[in-house]
Amino acid sequence: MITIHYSEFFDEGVYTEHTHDNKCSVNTMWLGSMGLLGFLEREFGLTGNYTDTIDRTNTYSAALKRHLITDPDAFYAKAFETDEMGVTKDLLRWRDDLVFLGWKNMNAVGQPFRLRTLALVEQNFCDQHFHFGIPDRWQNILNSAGSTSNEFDIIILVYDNPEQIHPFYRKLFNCLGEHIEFKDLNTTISIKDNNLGIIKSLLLGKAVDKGNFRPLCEDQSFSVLHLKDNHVAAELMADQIRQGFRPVVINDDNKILDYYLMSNGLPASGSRLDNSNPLIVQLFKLIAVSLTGPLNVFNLLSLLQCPYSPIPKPLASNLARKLIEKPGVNNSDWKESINRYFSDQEVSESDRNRLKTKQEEVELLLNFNFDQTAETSRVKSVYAILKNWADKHSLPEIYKHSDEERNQFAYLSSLSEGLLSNLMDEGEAITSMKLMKLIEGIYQPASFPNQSAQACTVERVASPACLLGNPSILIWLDCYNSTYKTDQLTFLYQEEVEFLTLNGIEIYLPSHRVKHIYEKDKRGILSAVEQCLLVIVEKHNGASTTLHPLIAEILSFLPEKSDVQCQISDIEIITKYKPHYHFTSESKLPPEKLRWKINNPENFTRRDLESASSIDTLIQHPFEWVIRYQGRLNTGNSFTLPDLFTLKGIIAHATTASILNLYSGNANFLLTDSLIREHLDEKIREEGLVFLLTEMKFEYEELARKYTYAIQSLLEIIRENDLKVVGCEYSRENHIDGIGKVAGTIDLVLERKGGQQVIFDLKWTKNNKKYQTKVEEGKDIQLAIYHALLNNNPHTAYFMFDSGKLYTRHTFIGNNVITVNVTGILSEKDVLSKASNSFTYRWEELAKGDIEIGDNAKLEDLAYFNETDDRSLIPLDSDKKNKYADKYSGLELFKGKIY
Amino acid sequence: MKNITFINAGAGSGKTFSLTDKLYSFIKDGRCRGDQVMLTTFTKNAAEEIRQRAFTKLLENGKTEDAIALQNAFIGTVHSVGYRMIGKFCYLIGISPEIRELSEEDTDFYFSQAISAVPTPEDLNKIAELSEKFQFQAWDGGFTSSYNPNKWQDHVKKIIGEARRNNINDLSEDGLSFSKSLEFISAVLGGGNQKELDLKKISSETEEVIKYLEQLPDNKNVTIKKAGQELKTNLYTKKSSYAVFLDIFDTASDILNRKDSTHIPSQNLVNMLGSFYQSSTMFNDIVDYMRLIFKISGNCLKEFEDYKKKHALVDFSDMETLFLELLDKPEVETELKQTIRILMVDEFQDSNPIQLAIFLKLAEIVEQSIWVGDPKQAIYGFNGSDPVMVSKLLELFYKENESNLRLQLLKNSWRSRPDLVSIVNKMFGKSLENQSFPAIISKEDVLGQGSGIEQWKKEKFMSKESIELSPRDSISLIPVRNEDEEGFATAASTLALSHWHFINKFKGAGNKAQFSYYLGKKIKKLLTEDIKVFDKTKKQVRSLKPSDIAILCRKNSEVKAISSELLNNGIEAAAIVEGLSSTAEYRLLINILNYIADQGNSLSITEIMLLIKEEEEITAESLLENRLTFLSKAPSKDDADSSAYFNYLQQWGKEHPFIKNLESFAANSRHLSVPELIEKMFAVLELRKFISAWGNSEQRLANIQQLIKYAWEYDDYCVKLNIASSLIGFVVWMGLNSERNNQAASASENAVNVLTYHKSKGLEWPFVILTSLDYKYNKGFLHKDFFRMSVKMEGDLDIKNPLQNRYINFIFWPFGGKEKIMGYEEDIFTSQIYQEAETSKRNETIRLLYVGMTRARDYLVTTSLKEIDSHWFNLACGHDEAWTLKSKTQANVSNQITDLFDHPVNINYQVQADPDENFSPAYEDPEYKPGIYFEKQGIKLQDNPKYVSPSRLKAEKEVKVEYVIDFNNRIKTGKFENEALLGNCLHDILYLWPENPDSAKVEAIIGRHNLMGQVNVSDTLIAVQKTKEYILSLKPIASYREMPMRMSMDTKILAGSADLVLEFEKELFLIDYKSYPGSIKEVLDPKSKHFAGIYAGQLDAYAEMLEAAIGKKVIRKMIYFAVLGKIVELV
Repeated sequence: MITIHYSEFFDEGVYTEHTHDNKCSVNTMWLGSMGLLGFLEREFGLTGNYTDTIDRTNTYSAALKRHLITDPDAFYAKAFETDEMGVTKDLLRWRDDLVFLGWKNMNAVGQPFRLRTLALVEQNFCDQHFHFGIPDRWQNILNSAGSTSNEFDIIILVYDNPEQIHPFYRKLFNCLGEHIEFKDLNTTISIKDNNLGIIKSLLLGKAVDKGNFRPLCEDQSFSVLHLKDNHVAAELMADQIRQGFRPVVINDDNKILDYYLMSNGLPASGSRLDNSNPLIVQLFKLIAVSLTGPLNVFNLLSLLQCPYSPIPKPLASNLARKLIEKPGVNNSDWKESINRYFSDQEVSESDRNRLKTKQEEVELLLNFNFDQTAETSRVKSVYAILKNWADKHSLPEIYKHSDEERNQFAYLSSLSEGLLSNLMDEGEAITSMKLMKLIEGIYQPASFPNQSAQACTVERVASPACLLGNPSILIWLDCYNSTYKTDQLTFLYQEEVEFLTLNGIEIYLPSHRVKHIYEKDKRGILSAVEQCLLVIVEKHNGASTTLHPLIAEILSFLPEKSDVQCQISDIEIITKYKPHYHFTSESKLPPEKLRWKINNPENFTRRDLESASSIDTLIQHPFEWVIRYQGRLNTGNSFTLPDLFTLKGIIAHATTASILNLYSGNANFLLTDSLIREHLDEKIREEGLVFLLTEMKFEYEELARKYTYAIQSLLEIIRENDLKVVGCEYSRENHIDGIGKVAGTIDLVLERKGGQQVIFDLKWTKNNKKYQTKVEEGKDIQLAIYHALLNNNPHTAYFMFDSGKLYTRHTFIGNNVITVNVTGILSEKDVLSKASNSFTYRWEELAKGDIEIGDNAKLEDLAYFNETDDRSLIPLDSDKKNKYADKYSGLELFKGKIY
Repeated sequence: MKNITFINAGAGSGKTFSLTDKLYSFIKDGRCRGDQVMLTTFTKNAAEEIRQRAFTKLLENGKTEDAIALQNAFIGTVHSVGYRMIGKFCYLIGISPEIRELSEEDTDFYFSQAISAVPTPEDLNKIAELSEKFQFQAWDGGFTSSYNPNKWQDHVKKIIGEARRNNINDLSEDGLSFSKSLEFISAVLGGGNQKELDLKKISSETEEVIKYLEQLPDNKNVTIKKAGQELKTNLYTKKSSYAVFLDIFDTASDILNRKDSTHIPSQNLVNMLGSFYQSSTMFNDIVDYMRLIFKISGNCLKEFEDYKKKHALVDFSDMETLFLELLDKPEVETELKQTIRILMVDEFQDSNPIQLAIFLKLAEIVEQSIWVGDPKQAIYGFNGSDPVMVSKLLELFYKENESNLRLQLLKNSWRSRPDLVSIVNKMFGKSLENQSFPAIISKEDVLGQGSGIEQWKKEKFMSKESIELSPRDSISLIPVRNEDEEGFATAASTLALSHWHFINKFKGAGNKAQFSYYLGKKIKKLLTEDIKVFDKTKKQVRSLKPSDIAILCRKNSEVKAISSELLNNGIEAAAIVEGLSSTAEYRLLINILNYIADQGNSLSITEIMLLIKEEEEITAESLLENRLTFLSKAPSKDDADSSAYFNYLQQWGKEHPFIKNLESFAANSRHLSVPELIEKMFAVLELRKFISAWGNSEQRLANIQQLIKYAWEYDDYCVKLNIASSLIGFVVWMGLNSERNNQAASASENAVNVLTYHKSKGLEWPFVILTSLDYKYNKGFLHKDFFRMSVKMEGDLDIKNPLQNRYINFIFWPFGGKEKIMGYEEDIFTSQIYQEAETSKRNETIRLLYVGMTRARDYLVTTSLKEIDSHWFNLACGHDEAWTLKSKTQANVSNQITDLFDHPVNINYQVQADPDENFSPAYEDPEYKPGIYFEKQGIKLQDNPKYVSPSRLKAEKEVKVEYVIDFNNRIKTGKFENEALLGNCLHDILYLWPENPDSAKVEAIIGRHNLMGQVNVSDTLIAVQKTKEYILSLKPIASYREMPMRMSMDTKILAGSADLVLEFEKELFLIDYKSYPGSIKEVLDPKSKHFAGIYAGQLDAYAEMLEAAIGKKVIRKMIYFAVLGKIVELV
């Protein structure tokens, strides 16, 4: 005879005292509700490969849709219009709950309208292959259970209270008659003369004198331990286990305990990732990034940085870096990177086709559609690629992934398959919104294995309901954040409840359900034989916890001055094991310094080529220069795209170059607003995708408005001053005395009528005054360098996109020209001479190992400042009292600004 | 309105106790079940507290069923109750049941998505033009502001928010809101009755003025020349903004007054701009802007509603508006009538209009309503509640007080010491008097205990059962606490009320900085003084702990300043302090994430090496030195194979132990979700140890918890909004909201609480320090409060339809960063509309101080600085200058008796000064306190699973395979991918051999396995029959199918089930089923991967278990290849 120990909660694993008694048992099973279902199905020949939830949901959705043809005003019609999948999932849950209750009276007279509608939908649903859900399977069992044969040599010991279980189970157990034996675990409780005994008695409603509570130092049988957070709790527990403490642990979300067990060199006790959204599975959403507009650059970057993806990793990393430098997709860099990656692959002849296919796949995945509608066939192709790729990765014989990862790949495959099946009935095109809704409807966080339990690990169960045996020492490690709320059948209206009841269907009352769980929780504490420790933490997952109702009840039992509520410092009293505490010795964070002194300046090397900006950085912010150009530490964050202002500048530059190229060849050039937009949009796709995001619409409009004004103003200045466009992004190299070889790309080179060359440096800045001051104070190194690069004494100016103004020391005409205060002005040559002095000065410092930081320092504390006049140096950027810091340096940690 | 009781519950009068008690009584008396209650509170915590208290009380009294039922009652904030209601009745309003709750910040994001197509390019151009004219400002959170071109979006959002909160649907030009706003602005600015401005002329005359100023000699003209320069820059950049007109007017007036009274351009400008704020030009601009904003708001309102519906999103306002909408549905009314009997409302005074409408509707549905609140604590006027509306409603209770509208009064103060109760009674009895009404009340409805209350009733009621109480009488409370019994000594230091006056200056600091500095020092000293407080739990006095102290501030910026000062003094602060992203722990986390995303990020590697030092001597400088040396040894980049150079660079830091760990961590954890990754990182990489070493470990660890919380919130946000989560997504998301840059508030016993008066509501502490008492409610009132959008009501409150006639008064400050309008503000101050607005703010300001003062249980401290007036305190005292709290210069502690009130109150008056009159503050470095961590042994490879399946075991020795029997019945199968499915199907069918299943049954099983057409039914039937025949031919005494077995093997558990076990007298046979559909040759060939011998390990394990359990030897181990129809034996 087979003996089955059953409780509906046993699917999550059971604790019995006999687990490790080294005996062999046969014909004994411990089953929860899903286990029992499977077992009985096999007994009654009712097994099958039951369809997964996604297929079933799709089938029910189709049934709901069909019903709407004859009943367009059905109660769910409006909601269904906005969220098909959401409504389907909800109504399918209703349907399943009802079927489990035994509801099948499709044509009953007087059925309330919602039930009537569901009954009609059911007719559409039942004729489908995929309609069978768990309740249907149980009902099938019930139908067969009355006719058990002699071969049914089974006894099922049920550890659930018959009054509190779902009416279905009551009905089933009635049918199984003599095969069922209800067991009350509370009969095995031992009550001792100690604090735990008092708590148990009180929980059982017995009158006890609370005055008999003994202090913790005398009686450790019961305690409530208050800790900071779940990490402290798990770390403490792992430490105690390491020393030999052997409790049975109740802990549902056990992964943190597992991590601490593992880092203590101990075997893990088994954990899952519950309700998880792992990064591999995110590909299901990320892969859609190219399918419709607006293109989300952040999602694209996430796709490229995803730990695994159908895009080869080296290519993806390369593209991610490109995207961070220049956030656009249709630029030449981007396309070239893809082509180069595949052409650089050295493959055998036999693999050539495989490579070609891969390239086609990647090109499909990275072929961006900026419209709001996608071709369904393309969507299908993309998801088919994803599915095939995920399938391969879930097979151990092809890829050596861990079990945990393989599970995620398998889930990703099933999600993709679900979407593909949903797309079957779609027309030729699908809107972005529809696609998003489909993805949203199918995607669900899921449960994945995290760490399998290892030999010799501590006994752990997910909930008190999984305790079949009576542990000697019990620790409830997550004794918080529970409520006894249930949504069991709460969708039913009272009139529906009444109707069902009248029609012989027994409703599972929420209060019965709650009581069932409450009794199970209580049973957890009652089961402890020698010692029970309840752990409450202030924070779990970083969020404040709430008191478990059962703990609230227990705390109300405790006398006011009881010390069974204790802190981490009491742990040794409770467990008898002294924690392996260690005290950290101080490790100082870098202090804030005015300057650094290093000992191996000989390793500083002159660069072959400097640029205006590197020279400016060396002069103004030598520390940043050293880190970037000598330390070669890439200051870019792997996650950060350029800020909006920088992007605006990049886009405006590129657009201007493209417009002026048109202008320079066309005397009758007419610059319309629509032409500007056209060029601007193209450059945004190539270099500034952020502006395509819907939520950036107003920023985009602001950019377009300001840029339109600026480019018109620039053209007006060009026309009024009779300038000829010589070139945009004009690259030049030259030797500059005292500095060396310098290269630069000049934004705009023009020519006056008499041949006098003109340089405009284009800027997008909030602070026009900054550039005005640069010219005024002779700090416009960039203009001075450009001036030297052209070598024929050109006139220079800054043009501001933000305001459409031109700031210059030279004479230009026009309303938008601001001639900077001429009095005492320095020429470009003077500025260059100072820049050269400063460059030399900074190198002299570096040669001594001196690196100035000086962020916000008083000017008089800086040697450079004190020697500015004497050595004719470029003045430091400052507010006249303190040196300005480089706001975007990102080197705060080195500079001692991180605390 | 039917059966409503309003319980007036002053601060500390036992409101929560009373609510819980009422709830318990209703259930105990059988008037409702535990789940037939709807109870709304102002905060989630309050809801949980009441639920817990009632739960425990019911359990204590044996009401287990009801206690459990209570868990499912509608208890929560109005929003959460609304959310549940929407979930239950979603189909009635046509929204998805999978509603997703949008947080306020998500709302902002989706709002901008939803409305992106609403304003036309023309609208945006016009808005941009007008915005520049009005120079809308964005404050940086401190004292400076700059032009904000996106302010219009705030205006639109606010209008929409108010419209929804007040159910105002008509935002058109014909609507009440637009016309009333127009009326308002006309009344304030004269309706544009002056002529148009000649902008060209103003511009040219201004240029003349600038030229004039440029020509003035530098000497003695510095200020005016600077004004001219500013004007020049502003003219270029800010164009013709109205703020610039004010500057032009001022400069021109200055020239006339101080330089040249005959200067014509200045004269012209003064004439032209004299009252430009009343010009039709400006008026029309304002009206144009209003019209545009109302139009866009109206369209956005609809667009946003549609957008949310389409995306099944529900935001904060929807929870209320949809809740109200549902209450109009007959189905909902019927359902609620049957399921809810009692409605209880906590903090009623803070209800917003739509909530009021909800409560009024619910009152009609349920049998009994209890509203509890304290009008004196209505402090959320700025956040949507409408104290005037609430007050009008409550007036009905006070005046009528009959069975349908019953008033009860909680008269005891349980919280504060008698002196504190007394001072609050006296101060606010007077200053709040005019905000209340006389109340008709019966004796039984005055609730409380003790002789004090009996005496009071005797005096007030005399022989009457019902009287009219004056406002003062209903405001004051009667103290219950007895200091002598509690154990307070009578020395001066234990006086309940103290005043701290700070008098020194120190160099270069503003007032706030000085105040914070002194306060920090004072608290540090206080904590050494062994002050006694009463422990409510232990019912005895004990020494003051830092967490007993609360410092209340007016503004968040003050909270931050004071918290920082406490930290400087080495005192932990339980407060929101900015700068999470500047902490080393945040930096470490970001660097680790960066590393996982891009292992070539040399900066991240270097920063990790600096944060987690391999040796103590490592400094930032030495790391750079190492880096330079490292680079100096790099192969040349220009070599033909530059990959050597790049590979060399990749080696940087790879020898660092932490980076090594990180590398293996990354390899094993990249598949995790963002929060799971961070949690694992914290545990496995032992971050606690490293982070604690930087000092201030509790705060740092709390920050890590905060980051973990954010990571989970981000995860949740992604699911809710259907966004893919990713590392970059998390980092970007963290930066989107400055609130997320706040460090964790410490919850330690060693932390002093610092918070705003508003946030202190509902809380209490033994020691409360009131700051910001110099706050002047009407400072900047004109531009900040008066020229501000508000919601008003036209006419009287209609109880049946409380939301009727409400309108939005949209007005804005059109003068940029300016605060005055050339003296015109004086006229505005005297207008009735201004007076009304100011009174409303004054009233709320007084109530806010009432809230602050009533938080104290044992000690209350007022504070002041130098000569600065305590405006706020004086305002609440009800008579100006009565107690100035300033100009005290005593350097010693004194015990004063002040006669501010009608009887003297003892006050411990202390003046805090440093001996040096003018000094610069210096802080000692807080002492390094070592953090604690648990010593670890290092990661152990997890390769020894606890549960072992026999099918995974390999044979210990070689076996031979021999033929046993051939059934000559190959089951025909099609080609399919899933062999395991075929195996399951055949196992399940063969299981049924004893019952001889018919073809229908076999067909059904095959069908349910989706194998119809792929597995031949009749072949399968024959296989079952042959199996049965063969088994019976062996004549076993018993047979066991799918026999479960389980055995402990040392540390492991072997568990599985044997397909078929045949028991004989003295021995056992074991038969395992396999579904391999290939050829028998393969099965018999030891070299084939399908060789049957590979199952020997599995069968040996079964055999071992069987022998152990049954005690008989397994003498035959056979494998039945069902598809092939052959049985083989392992020998």
